[in-house]
Amino acid sequence: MMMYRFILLGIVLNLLPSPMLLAEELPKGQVGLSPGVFENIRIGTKPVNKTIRFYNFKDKPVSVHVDVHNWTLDKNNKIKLLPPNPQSLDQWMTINPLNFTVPPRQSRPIRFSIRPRVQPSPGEHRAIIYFTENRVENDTTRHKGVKTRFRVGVGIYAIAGPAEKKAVLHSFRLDRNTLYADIENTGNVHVRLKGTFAVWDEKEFPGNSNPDKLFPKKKENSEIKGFAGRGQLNHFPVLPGTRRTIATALPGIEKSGAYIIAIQDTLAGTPRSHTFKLVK
Amino acid sequence: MRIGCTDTVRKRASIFLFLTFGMFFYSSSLLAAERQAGSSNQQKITEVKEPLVVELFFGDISVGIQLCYRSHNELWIPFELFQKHAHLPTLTESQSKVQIMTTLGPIDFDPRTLREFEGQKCISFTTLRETLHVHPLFNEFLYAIKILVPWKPLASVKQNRKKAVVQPDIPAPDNSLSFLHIESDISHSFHDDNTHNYLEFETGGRLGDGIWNIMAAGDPSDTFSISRYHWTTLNRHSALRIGTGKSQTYNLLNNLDYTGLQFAWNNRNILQNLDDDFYSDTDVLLNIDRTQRRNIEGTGPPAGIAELRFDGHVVARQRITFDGRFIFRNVRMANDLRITEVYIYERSLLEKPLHVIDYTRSVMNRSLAGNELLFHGAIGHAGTILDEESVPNSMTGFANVLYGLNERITLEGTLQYDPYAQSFDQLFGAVMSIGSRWNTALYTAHSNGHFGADVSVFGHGKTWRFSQRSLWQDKGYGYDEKEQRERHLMRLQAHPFSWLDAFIYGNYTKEDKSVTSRHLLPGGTLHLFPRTRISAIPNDSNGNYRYEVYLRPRRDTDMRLRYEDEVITADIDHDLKNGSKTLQLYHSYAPKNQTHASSIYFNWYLHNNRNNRLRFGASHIHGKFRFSGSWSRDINTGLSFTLSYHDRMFNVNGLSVDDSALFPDDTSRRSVNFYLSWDLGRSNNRFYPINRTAISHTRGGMAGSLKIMTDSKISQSSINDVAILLNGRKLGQRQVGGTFFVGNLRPGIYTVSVDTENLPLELVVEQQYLKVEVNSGTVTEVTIPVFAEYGVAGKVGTASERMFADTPVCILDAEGNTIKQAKTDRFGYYRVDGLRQGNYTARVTATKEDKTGCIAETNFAITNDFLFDIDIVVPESPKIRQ
Repeated sequence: MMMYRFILLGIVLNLLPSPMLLAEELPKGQVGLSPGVFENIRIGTKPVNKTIRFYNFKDKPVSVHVDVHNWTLDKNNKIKLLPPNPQSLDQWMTINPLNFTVPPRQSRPIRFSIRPRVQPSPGEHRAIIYFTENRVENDTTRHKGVKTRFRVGVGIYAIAGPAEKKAVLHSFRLDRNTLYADIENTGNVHVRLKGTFAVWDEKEFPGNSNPDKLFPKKKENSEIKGFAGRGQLNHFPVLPGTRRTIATALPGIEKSGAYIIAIQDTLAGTPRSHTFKLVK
Repeated sequence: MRIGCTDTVRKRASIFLFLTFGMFFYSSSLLAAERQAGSSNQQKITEVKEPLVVELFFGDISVGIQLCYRSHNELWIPFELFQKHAHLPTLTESQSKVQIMTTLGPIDFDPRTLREFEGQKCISFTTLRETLHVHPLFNEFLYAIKILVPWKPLASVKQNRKKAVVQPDIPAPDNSLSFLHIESDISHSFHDDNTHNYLEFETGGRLGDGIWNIMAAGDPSDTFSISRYHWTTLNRHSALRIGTGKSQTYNLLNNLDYTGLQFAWNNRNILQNLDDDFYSDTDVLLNIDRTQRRNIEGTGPPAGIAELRFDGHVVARQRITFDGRFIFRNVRMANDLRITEVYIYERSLLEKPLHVIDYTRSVMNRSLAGNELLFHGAIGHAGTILDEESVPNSMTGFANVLYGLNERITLEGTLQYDPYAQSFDQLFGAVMSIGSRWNTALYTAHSNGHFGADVSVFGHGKTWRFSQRSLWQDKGYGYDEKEQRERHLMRLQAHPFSWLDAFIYGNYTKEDKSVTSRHLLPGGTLHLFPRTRISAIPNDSNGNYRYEVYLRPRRDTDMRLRYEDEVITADIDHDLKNGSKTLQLYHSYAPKNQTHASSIYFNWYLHNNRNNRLRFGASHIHGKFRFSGSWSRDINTGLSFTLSYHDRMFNVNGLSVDDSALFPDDTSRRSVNFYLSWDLGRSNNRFYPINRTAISHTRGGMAGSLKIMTDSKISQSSINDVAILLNGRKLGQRQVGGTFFVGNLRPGIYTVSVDTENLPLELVVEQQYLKVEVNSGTVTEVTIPVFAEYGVAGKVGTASERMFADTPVCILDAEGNTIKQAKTDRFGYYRVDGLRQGNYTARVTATKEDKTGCIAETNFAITNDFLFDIDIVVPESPKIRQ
C-alpha cells in the first residue's frame, strides 16, 4: 500500500533533541532550505534580488517544483492561501527556476526578484514560496513501505513605506504545561514574541535580579543544581490587524514538586520578564 | 552461497506487520525497556531477543527501515546489508577465517561470529567495532542506526580506479606562450620636472616537456635588461633547469647567482621540493631555502583520524591505517618555529581528541625524512650573463647533498666554487632532533681559507618556547675584507596564563673584537580584556622598546597608541559604513622637539565595490596642510591601476625618526604617479586576464568567461562575483566583468560548474558540468555559455472571472511546437519559465495529453523581460476536465 505524505523532513530531523548521541552523529535530514524566512525586505521602485539555497541530503536526485502564493493566517494560526491581487507580493515576484532537479548531496540556488508593477501600498506584503517534490515515476531506488514527498515553504515578508511595529500583550498565562500569550498586532507589519524561558526548582530559584544566573549558558545547564530546563518561546508571527494566542509547550518535567518558570521576552521591541509557578 | 542471503520476503513481511500493527504491541514495550531498565520482567524479555525496527544508515545514506535485533544488550544488524554497503567480497559458509584487504590495512574476520535471527545472518556491534574497526551508532530517540565505515576493500578501490579514467571536455592547451606580465610605474615630479619610468616584463609557456620563463626589468630608456630566463623540466624524481639560478646553499656560505645547468634529484619524490602553492619571482628552484617540506609520521588508534595543525590552524586530515600509522606527506614548514601538532580522534572530528601530538620538535629547516636523499647541483657562468651588472668572467658550480639518516638526524654537505673569492668552499652540517623538546642544527664551513660555524638550538614546551642562534666567522671568512664576527641571538617566550605572553630577548654581537650590541631584555603582552591588550617588546637588534596599547572600544573602531623611537603615535581606524567608507586618523608627537604631525585618510569604495577605491588624505605639520589623492581600480582579474597625486603629503603612518627626533620639513615632492599591472594568460590564441603568480612550473590555471549567448539587456560586464566551482568547491578566484580565472591548480582534470547564486536572475547556465584539463605552466580556456531566459505568468478564466484551477497550459513556439507545460494553481494562475526571446502562444487544452484540443489561447512575445498578465480567456462553456 502506498501512502503519500507531505512532510517537512528537511529541518525536523536536525532539530530533534538527542539524548543518546551527539548532534553530529544523527542521521541528516533529507532536504533543507536556507534561509528559512525572509523578513524586512524593503520594496520600492527598484528590484530586490534574493537567493534561496535548496539542499538535497538524499542519496538520490530530488525533482522539485516551485510556486508562490499570497497568504495569511487563519484564527487557528494555520496558513491560508489567498488569491492574488494587484497589491499581492506574489504577483511582483519572478523566480528562476520554477522546476529543477538537485543531484544527491548537492545544493541548488533558487533566485527570485521582487519587481513591483504598481506603487506598493504602505505596509506589509507577504508571499510564500513552496518547494514541492515532484512525483518520480518508475523510481527504482525507493524503498518499499511508506513513501513520502515533501512540501516546504519559505515565507517572504516585504515592507513598503513606513513600518510600524506595534503590539499589545493582552495576557500571558500558564495553563498546566503550556504558556499562552494573547497578542494583538496594532501595527502594519507582523510581530513575533521572541524570548527564552527557564525552569527552576522553586527552592533553588536564583531570583530575577541576576539574568546570567537565571538563564545559564547551555554548556552549564547540567551542572547547576535546581535548574530543570530551558527553551525558546514559540515565535509564530501575529499579522497586522489580528489578535492571536500563541502557545508554547514547556518541556516535560518528570520529578514532582514546585517549579518557577522564568521568562524573558521581547514583543515589538519592548522587553518584558515574567515568572510563573508550576506545581507538578 | 552468500552468507546472509536469507528469506527477504519474511523480513519484509515482518517490517510491514510492524509498521501496520506492531506499533500497538511493540512500541510500548520497547520504550519501556529503555526507560525501565531495572524492571526484571522487562529485562528478561530484552535478554532473549528483541526485534528492532529502525532506519539504517551507512554514512549519510539511508538504506531504509530495517529489522535489527537486540540480545543480551548487544545490537545486531543484518550482515547481508553490511556486506553490500561496505563492499565486502563474497564469503562462503565454509570459510572459518578470512582476511579482507582494505585501504587502511588487513582485517582478519571470522564469519562464525555471525548469529542467525529468524533465518537472517546478523553481525554484532561488538564485532563491527572491535574486529572490523567500524563505528556503529544507535540513536534510541530516532530509532536509527548509523554505520560509519572508515575504510574500503582494496578490490573495490581498484575497480573504482578503472572507472576513474575521464576524458576532458576541454583538454589543456600546449601553448608555447602561456602568459604575459607587464608592470609599469611612471612618476613625474613637478619640483624638478623629472619623469621616472620603471617597466617590468615577464613571459613564459611550455616548450617541449618543460616550461620556459623570461623576465626583464628596469628603466626602458636607461637600465632595462633581462634579469631572469630559464627552461625547466621535471619528472617524479628529478628536475633539470637550464638558465639562471641560485645555489641555495645553507646561509653560512654565499648564495651565488649563475647561468648554466641545474639538476636536482630526490629518491622519494622531487615534487615535494618543487611544488609551491604560490609563484616566487626569484630564481630559486627548490623550496628548501624558503620553506621546508617533509613527511610527518606517527601512530594512533586504528581507523581513527589524524589532523595536522599549524599554530592551531587545520591544514590536513587523514584516516589512520590499521597498523596504527599515519603519514602527512609533503608538509611545508616555515622558517620560524610554527607550532606543528597532530590531533588524534578516535572516530569523529567533533569529539574531544584522544591525543595531541606535538611535532614542532622534529621539524626543522633542511631536515629530511629517514632515508630520504636529495641532491642538488649546478654548473655555469657566474652571475646573470644577459644582465648588465658586472660579473666576474668565471665559471662556478656547486654540489649539495642532504640525507635523512633517520627520523631525527639529517646530514648535509656542500662543495661550491666562489668566483668572487676564487675559493672552493666546503660546508658540512647536521640537523638533529634531541629528546621530545629540543632541536639543534650544527654547521661548519670553510670559505676563502677561513672557518665559520653556526649553531642553532630550538626548544619548546606547552607554555614556553626557546630559540637561540650563534654564529662565528674568522677574519677573512667569505672574502678578504671580512672582519671577525661573533653573534648570539636568543629568544625565550612563555605563555603561563591565557592573559600573559612573556618574552626575554638577548643579543650579543662582536665585530672586529669590539662589542656592538649586548642586551638581555624582558618583554610581554597583557591581554586585559577580549578587546584590549598592552605590550612592551624590545627591538631584537638594538634593544629599544616599543610600547603599545591596542583596544577596540566599538565593533567598528580600532585604536592603537604606541611609543617607539621617542615618538608617540596614535592611530584610529573607524568604519563609517559597512566597510565601504573608512576613516584613518594618525597623530604623532615627538616630545624631544615638541613637534606634532597629523594625517587623515578617507577611503571610499565606490558602490561598495572593493575593486574601486578613492582615497583622500591630508596632513598637517609645522603649521602647513598638505594633500594627496588616489584612485585604485581593479578592472578585471589581471588588470589594475592606481593614479595618485601627492602635494608634499606628510605620511604620519610611516613616521620613523632617529635620535635627533627631527621631523623633516618636506618628506615628498609634488608629484603625479601612475601604476599599472597587467597579467594576461594565453590559451587557443586568445588572451584572458589572469593572475600570473598562480602559474608556475608545477601549477596551472583556467581562465575564461561567462558568455551571454542570447540577446539581453544584461551586459556581460555586469556579471560579477559568480562563483566558479571546481570539483564542487569554490577556490580562491576572482570573477569580475564576466571573466574569471582560477589558478594554483595542480595538473589534472577538474569538474567545473557555476554557482548561479550571484548570476542575474535572467541568466541561466545550460550545461551543468564541464570536465576541464589543467597542465602546469599553462592556462586552459573555459567558455561557459549562459543564456537569457524569461518567464510568463497569467490566469486562466472566463470573461466573467470564473477561474480554472489545475488546468493544463501549454506554451507553443512560433512553429507550433509545445516547448513548456504548466498547470494553473488552485486560483487559476499559472507560471512558466525558461523562455528565450521569441513569439509564443499560451494555450489551454482540454487535458494534458490532448494537446490538440485547444480551448483558448493567447499570443505573446518575449523580448527582454518577464511578462505578467498573459491571461487566457476561456469561452463560458468550455469542455475542460477539471
